[in-house]
Amino acid sequence: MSVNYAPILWNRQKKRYDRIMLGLIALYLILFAAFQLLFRPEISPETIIIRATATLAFLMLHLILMIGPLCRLDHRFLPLLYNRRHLGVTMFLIALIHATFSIIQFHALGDVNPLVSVFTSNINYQSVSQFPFQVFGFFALLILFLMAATSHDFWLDNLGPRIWKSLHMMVYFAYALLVMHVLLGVLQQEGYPAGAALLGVGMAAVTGLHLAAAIKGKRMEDRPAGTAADGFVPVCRVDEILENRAKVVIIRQENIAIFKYDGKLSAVNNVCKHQNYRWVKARSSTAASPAPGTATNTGRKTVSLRPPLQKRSLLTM
Amino acid sequence: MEAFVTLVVNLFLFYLLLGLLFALVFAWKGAGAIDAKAIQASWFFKLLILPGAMALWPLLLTKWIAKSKRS
Repeated sequence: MSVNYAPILWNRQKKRYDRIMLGLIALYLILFAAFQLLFRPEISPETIIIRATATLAFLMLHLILMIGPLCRLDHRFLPLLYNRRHLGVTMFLIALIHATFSIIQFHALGDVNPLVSVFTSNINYQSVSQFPFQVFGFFALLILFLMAATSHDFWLDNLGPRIWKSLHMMVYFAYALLVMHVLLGVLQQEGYPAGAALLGVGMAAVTGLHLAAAIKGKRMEDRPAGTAADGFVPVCRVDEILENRAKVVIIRQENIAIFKYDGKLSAVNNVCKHQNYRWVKARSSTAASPAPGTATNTGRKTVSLRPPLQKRSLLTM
Repeated sequence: MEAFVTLVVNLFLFYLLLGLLFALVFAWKGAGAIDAKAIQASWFFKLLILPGAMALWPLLLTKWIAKSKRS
């Protein structure tokens, strides 16, 4: 860990990731503008920008939401996860361009404050078909702003994992708001059935992948139940863990990974820092434990654990 | 309705204005006060944390005050 925070953690892979991402974004914007100019030449450049950035940001949000479950289903998608943070911030910036152009185009030319106009230019709050859809987009953008603004490690360290994770889980609420924004705005007002179908496909993909990943995770969960008198839970045989690999088990709600490497076994908490891991709590509760580490390998055959774990429990083989 | 929305929007903008003023001071002094890894961080880093500090200034102000009292 570095002594000082770096503004952006770039390395060769992340730079490559960002180059590919920016290249695809540019390609999308060029193709979108070209198709619009070709088939609807009467549309103004501002409208093209509003539509291009809207569709791109929404598409990127779908991708961002799908990366997590895709990686849990198939490890070959892990490279997409590697720099998802930059993908998220870029998506927010594109959504911000969409919002800025929309507010200028639709709300900045009157004598009412443009932000006030977003909420008052259409007051059909009782109507479903005429509901002021821009309000949904406004609140979704606020959430995306908070997420982008707190994406640096500084915020994870200083807000704490619980607040940081809660804040970033709000992406699902933002997604729901944006679905309403798109559904009411573009689809109902302009009667664009292909858009409705695409939105349905997107929602089905996001929901389906999350469900599939959850089902797979549930199936793969190993929950050893037996408990010895001293509190140790037999987990598996040593030879069940491949060299330089790990086995994940859940004991008393604690997600634990047992690694085998260099002739040793180590047990660590298998939850990332940003997922609100519980090392601190575990450490304090085992302060008086006569067996710090709370993990052992009995008879060179069976691995047994006794959570909660210390930071890392080294087992002898 | 418009009067109410205007009031809420003005309060929101006032909150952000206070947040911006706080964020400038926080990026200069406060970030280093609550986190040693930010003391010698670059200006680009300080620029990056400005929007978050502007939005979450009450929380950060509380942390900063608590940290000052402890030290």
